[in-house]
Amino acid sequence: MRPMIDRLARAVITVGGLATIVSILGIFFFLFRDVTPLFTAPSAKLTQRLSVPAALAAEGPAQVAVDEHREIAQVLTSGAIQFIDLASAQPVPIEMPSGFTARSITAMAHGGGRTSRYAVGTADGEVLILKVGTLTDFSDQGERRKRPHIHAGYPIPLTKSPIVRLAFRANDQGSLLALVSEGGRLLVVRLAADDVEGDNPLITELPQPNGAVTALALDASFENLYVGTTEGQVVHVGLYETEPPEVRSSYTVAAPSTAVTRLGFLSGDRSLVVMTADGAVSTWGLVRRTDTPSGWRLTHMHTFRSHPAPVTAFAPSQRVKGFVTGDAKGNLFLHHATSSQTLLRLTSGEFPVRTVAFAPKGDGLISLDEAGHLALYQVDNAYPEVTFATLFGKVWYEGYDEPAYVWQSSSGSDDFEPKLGLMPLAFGTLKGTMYALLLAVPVAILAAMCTSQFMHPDLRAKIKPIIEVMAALPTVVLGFLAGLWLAPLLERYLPAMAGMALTLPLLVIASSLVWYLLPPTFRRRLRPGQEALLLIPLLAMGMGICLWANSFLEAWWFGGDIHAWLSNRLGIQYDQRNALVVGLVMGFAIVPVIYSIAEEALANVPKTQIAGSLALGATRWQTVLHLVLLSASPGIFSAVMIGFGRAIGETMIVLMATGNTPLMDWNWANGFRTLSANIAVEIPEAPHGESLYRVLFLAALLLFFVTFVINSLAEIVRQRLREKYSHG
Amino acid sequence: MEVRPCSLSSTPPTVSSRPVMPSVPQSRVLREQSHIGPSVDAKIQVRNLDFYYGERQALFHVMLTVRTNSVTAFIGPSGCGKSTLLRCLNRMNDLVEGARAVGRVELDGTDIYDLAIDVTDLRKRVGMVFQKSNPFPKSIYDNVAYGPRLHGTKDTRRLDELVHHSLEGAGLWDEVKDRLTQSALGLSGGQQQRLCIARALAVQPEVILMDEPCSALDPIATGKIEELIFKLKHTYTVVIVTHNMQQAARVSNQCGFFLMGELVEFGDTKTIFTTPHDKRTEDYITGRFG
Repeated sequence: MRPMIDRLARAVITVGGLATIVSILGIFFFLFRDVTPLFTAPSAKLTQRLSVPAALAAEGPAQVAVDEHREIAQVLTSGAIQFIDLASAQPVPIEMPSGFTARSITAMAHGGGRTSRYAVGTADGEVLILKVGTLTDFSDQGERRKRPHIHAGYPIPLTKSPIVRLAFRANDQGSLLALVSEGGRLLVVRLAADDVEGDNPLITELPQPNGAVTALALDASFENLYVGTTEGQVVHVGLYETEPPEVRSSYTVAAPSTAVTRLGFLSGDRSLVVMTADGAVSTWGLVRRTDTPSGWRLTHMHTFRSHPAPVTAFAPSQRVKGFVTGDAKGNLFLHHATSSQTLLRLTSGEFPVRTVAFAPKGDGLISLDEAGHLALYQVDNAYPEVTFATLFGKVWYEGYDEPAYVWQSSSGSDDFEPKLGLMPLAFGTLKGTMYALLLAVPVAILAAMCTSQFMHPDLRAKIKPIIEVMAALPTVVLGFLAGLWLAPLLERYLPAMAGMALTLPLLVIASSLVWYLLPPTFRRRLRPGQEALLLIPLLAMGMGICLWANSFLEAWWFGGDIHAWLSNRLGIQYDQRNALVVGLVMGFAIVPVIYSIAEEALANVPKTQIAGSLALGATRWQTVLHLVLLSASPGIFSAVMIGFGRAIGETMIVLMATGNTPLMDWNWANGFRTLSANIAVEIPEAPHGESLYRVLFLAALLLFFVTFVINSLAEIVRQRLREKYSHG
Repeated sequence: MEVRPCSLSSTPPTVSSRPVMPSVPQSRVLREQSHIGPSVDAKIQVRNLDFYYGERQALFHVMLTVRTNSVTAFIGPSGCGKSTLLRCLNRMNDLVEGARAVGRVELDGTDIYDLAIDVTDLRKRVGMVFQKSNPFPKSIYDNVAYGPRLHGTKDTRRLDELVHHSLEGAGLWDEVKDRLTQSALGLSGGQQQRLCIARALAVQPEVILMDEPCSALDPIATGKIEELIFKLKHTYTVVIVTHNMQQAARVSNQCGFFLMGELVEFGDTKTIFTTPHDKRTEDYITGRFG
């Protein structure tokens, strides 16, 4: 019978232990599986390559595009506009607008973003606005149909000489054009939205910059025009409806006399991509600087891998801050701006790239070279914005004055770029843990010392379970209390808290002095440690007086308004939900954990050692400080580490009491956001399989990993300590 | 009862095979012997001490005098109160919940139970070695230096000196001088006990109480400790509690026999072992009970 029970017990324990290990490994692999796609290298493959029909082979400006299913390509050249069914490599028959075929096209520009509008300039100095695109609809049978369409507006005469360069943006206010005519005249043309026929173009001529204009870029806000020249300079022109256009400043962006070959914007029209004749590619942004008259300066943000030849083509991705550049030797480079990396290099052939475009979903590229080859690539590059550098390093985001650690996963606007820096969250986690431990470790260890070493055993038997029951409080209740009850209370009684921080320690020091002035015969009537009980009413009284004198203290010390005083004198912006609240409440939550283990460790220090110390004439306090703490150090260390592990993974309290602001500031008076709370807040809204979703899984993996490492380290250290201080 | 060969150089009092029956009534003998007035060589005087653990009385009207620079042994069966009395001498019993002493214990004529007495000062003067060696989980050096450091000795030269002196006094110096920084927990049982003695010596006490210091040791280690006790009595006053009658006979000058919390007989070891006055002492010594 007994051997059987033994065997059964062994089997149950083995199965239980293995199941634990397996489930932990399972969690790890589950997290790992969802995270790995973030770090797979981007790839691209050439899916199709064909020669365009002869009608398209004309020289001069060209534009290409492909529909979202990558089924129909559209090619605009000075000769014709054609749609090509990529499956059959045959042109789709379509009627050309007469206004287009009748004219000699000398310049072309796309309206930016997802628009299907193009502007073309003619040799007669006219501009024609076209809508060229493919509509998708479904037949009654549910079949998907593609309907290419071309719509041409009225030709608008703007100048006498041929238009050689053109930039074009359209929004609901109308259209904005910038153009350079053959004589080098630089014009800005504004067309109101209701001016369909182009009867009243508002034309402004700008002074000619040094050197010939080689590139133009307009932003969709209609406020900035950038002009690139043969001298390697970019001129910034401010355009405001109410004021005449004004040349703001000119920036040197390349080596002298290296021409700027192309200028373009990333999706969102904020970052300017500058491409030059020596193959360099860089992004620039307007950054607030006090040293310029306008308060802004075009600043170099990121540099990318250089092309071996002059850059000839550019296209931004419409989904992310990525872009593609093509050069005169037929290379295509795929870049991601924010992460400052060149992801891929594609070689489409020996011929210079004429024009290039992204598929609308960013999963394909189409390019046209000088020899008339149309090449279609499939691009697998789902998470270009997530790299170790962007997750854990400072990143210079668009619109920021400098590189920064930022977590901001969503926003109202479409062209918003998610900022997935984990550092603010890791920082928040550490901050919350530190504040909680700052409160919990001293309180818990002192309480453990008090109950295990000084307290009467009967009292100890009552107090210990009470403290341990505190651990059973659901953290959501604590978080609720912290956020809705304690935080407003603390805000109101902040002066009283400051008063307590000052008076209570003084009170303790003063009362112990008084105690030692009392005659020893009186003092020795109390058990060692019992005199501390006398402090309780004293401290309660001190706290009561501080609370009662709250408004008086605020008037006396803080000039009547502690919040104003904090922000004026100390530069501290007090948030209602802050690290102090979290420290108090999360500290409260982990006190029982630390207390329980530490108390056990302290109580297990052999009585013979304590007696040995006392017999040498040590006081109780000396014995506790010099011997008991040392002997119990492995247990106390474990206690603190387990408290640490508990605090680092704590979610509900920090979720409800921190305000969830992903700041990086040690200040006690403002909030933070932890990894755990961030997962809880964002996972319900993260689209499955997208960057945010996977980064949240990465955050979970990180937490898992940190907890694992801390627990393992704690165990190793504890074993070492135990070897050294094991009770003889 | 365990009988060990005597390996000591000095000649301890021999145990007579047939003690003489006491001719005087026991209580009278006691009174006469314990009422030695305050003389020059009385270090500790226990006067009419009753001791209680809560409701239970553990010592009844104990009276005895411990002489300076001598070894006094308390013997008796388990639970007879000999250890309790020993612990009363440096007030270690204060630590026991509900313990209470009634009567006087005088150290150099001052009652140590007076409220004016600082118990830590008392324990500095009256050191103690326990039944089970209890070295601290520190290095050998730090174990010995523990007491002096607590009492304010900071000078490292002075500490080195004290440690050296105490370890030499405990006969341990030659064995450990090369590994002072190693953990005391690595020493053997006998070495640990001598380390505890050295630790007690380091605070320079006047009296050393030993509570069955050899009960956990093998004969060779026991022999070394006994040898040490012999040496120590030249400088210190030693009070030892022992189960081992031979040990009491070998090392002590005075001897007290306890039974059920009563001090049955107290006197010169020679007298107790050769001509005990009380029948119960005789029975115990000859091994008829206990």
